[in-house]
Amino acid sequence: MEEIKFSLLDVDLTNGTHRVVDVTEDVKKYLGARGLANKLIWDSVPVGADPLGPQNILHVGVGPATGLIGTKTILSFMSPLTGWAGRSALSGDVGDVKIRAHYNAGIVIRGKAAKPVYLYVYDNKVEIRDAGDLWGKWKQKTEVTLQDRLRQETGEQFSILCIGPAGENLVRYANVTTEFFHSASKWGCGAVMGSKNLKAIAVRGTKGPVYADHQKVWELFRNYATSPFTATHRINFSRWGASTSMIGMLRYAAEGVKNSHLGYHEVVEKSDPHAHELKYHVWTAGCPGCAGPCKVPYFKNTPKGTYGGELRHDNTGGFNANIMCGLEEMTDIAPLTDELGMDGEELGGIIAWAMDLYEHGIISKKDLGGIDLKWGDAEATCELMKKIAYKEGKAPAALAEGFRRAYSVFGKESIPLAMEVHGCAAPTYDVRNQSPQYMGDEVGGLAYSTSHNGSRMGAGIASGLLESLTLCIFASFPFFALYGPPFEVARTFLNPVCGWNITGKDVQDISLRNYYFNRCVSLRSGYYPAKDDYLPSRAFDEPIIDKYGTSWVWGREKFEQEKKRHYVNVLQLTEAGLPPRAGLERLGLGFVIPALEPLKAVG
Amino acid sequence: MTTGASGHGGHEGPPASGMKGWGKENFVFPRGIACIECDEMKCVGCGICQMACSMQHFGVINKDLSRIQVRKYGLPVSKGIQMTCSQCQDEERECEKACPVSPPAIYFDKKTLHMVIDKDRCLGENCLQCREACSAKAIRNHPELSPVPFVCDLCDTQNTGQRQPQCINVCPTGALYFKDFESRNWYPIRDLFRKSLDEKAQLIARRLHPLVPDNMWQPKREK
Repeated sequence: MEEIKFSLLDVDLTNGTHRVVDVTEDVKKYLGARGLANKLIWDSVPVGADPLGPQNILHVGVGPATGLIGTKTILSFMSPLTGWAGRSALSGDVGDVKIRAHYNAGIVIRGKAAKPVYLYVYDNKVEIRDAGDLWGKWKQKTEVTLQDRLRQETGEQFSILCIGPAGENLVRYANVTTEFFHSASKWGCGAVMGSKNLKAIAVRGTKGPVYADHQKVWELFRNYATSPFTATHRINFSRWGASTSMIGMLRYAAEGVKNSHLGYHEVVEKSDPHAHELKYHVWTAGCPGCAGPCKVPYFKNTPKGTYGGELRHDNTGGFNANIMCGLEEMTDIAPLTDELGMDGEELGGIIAWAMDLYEHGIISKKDLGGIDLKWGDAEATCELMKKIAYKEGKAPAALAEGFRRAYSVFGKESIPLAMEVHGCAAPTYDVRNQSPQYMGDEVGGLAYSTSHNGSRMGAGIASGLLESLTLCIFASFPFFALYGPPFEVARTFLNPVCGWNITGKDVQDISLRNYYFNRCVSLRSGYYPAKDDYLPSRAFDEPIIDKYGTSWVWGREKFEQEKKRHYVNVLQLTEAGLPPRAGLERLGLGFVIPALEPLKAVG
Repeated sequence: MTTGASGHGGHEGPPASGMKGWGKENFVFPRGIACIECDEMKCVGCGICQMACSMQHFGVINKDLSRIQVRKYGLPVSKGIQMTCSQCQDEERECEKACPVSPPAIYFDKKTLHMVIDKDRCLGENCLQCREACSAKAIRNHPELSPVPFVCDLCDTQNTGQRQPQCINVCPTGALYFKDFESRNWYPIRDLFRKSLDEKAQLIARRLHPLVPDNMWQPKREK
């Protein structure tokens, strides 16, 4: 079985050039997407470079399993919100078409265009085209206009990644969207695209994926697609998507209510996914190659106008009850977050904080440009979101910069009201909740506070594998049932896909290597566990009580103890939260040590 | 088979009846004239049918080599839409009439009951008049990878009468099924389903047009 090659499309916007680079050796060591991106960032982004400057890069990554175990595209970059390693994932056709265009290691974008452009990729044909007339357009208009234009030109349907006004105006939590409402939202990838004057990326591939053994891949895949495990999985996911988890989390105090001041409030009951389904559900849509599709869009028709989108935990959890709204109001708000192009999760924390500041008189109606920002007011929320996207007025412009930069504008009395970790909003998976499911690798107070990316899931060792394969966690439950734990699933597919002969142990090493490497990228850029890994004072001083009477709060000593346990047992780091020297050397990451040693960032 | 062990909340137990597939492989296939039909509202656009199709005919996974076509439309609520050859009845079969070769290189084989393109006689990429004539554009071509266009043959690749549509067996949502036209002695009106992807999308998009609440009957009007 012949090993396949991995090709990376390397685009330089400054010079307007592109080339295709063979990165097969790197993919063997790190896999694709986030793993490969660590290497690209480490090698080409200078220490101290401005994330919104031309020296930052944006890797639009795919991995060997993209299109087989769900279809994810992982964007990797240096985050303008935290200044550390950033990554963000989105679903949709775009990952699949990159594989079909034979860019199976993704696209990396460097430099900065002199004027607004979009990147056109049609198999081998790569062009940097003028986007002057698209600049300033909201997302839906951008995608529809570009889609129509390319359809007329080529007769083909392209997959489009684009930014909205928030990305153009460099809002530090702007996102990148495909298919209108599927977004890579975390840590400001939209602002990175905006800073490069890159409005959109349009991709179409017709060459089919490169696999070493198509027959074997198909046998494994067919087994999945027709398995009873998949059918059982689909019944739940295809009906509800990711909307049912919210009400449970809200009732059990795992999601922010009223800027995370409360564990429960009756407004929570307005987040009823069943009522939402009966009112507005239209149909289920899926990603390429997913037999348990979870996109459950809604369409709402009112005398005011029509609203379409999707309520998921990502854009609604931590937003709805945190600003004292239910799902009904969120069906108005969510389409606007998509249109403007901002991270719904960050906005949920930021707007709840703004409402709190307004109630406490720390910001005034004048600061907000005349908005009466009362709890639960969906219209005021929409107005504020528009002002944030365009940075209009004193308070919205400060909010557009994220929590930590806004402190200097609003003063130090604003700090105790903020619920943020590492400068990122933490409205979902409340950091005080210590139920077993929030004490693990990916979510909750321990995961957030020890994350070198910011306060969000996807920063543990598992993500080193999932986001470099790439593997969609929602799609992969039946794969786990059929083929074993994640590293076994990875091994099962990697060998026939790539023509390799690797073991489960090799895959576990890749997973840990990518996790360490990503942490090293952040460590090199100023992240330091002893300085950064803490929770806001509210996590220790302000208990929350869930609907059924359980109270949650951290004790300071207990947190320190648990954090050390988490570093050592879960994240395989030293007690100080640093990657151990022996581990780095064993995994072939010895080359990072000279850069980290002066920072005392090696364990 | 390894079960559980994921730690990610997967389905832990074995299937209830111990069956291997999820049951659809046991459906009875029709004997007479039949075609692949799609319940468009069930299609999610996953494209697994396309993977099965290209594997069966070309031995590779390549959605651009599949006879069945799936495309994702943003309407602006994204919707997967599927289309394949409807094996039209004789009177309406425009592709066959358009073929400049005599007898036509594309034809409905009355013995094996599906469309066939004769690879030896087809004029290939320079012609494509069959594709032009088909209002659904159900005939597909890929100049780099296939010398002649291709059309749904219900997976009877050797034209022996063994119809085994692979897309139907793998369709995870049950959107695709093998429609039986003969057993109930109906007029075999198959061209009704001959709608292009764009045509289907335009019709489905009508569902998203605004309605005036006064024109809707409901027990309690929302003000």
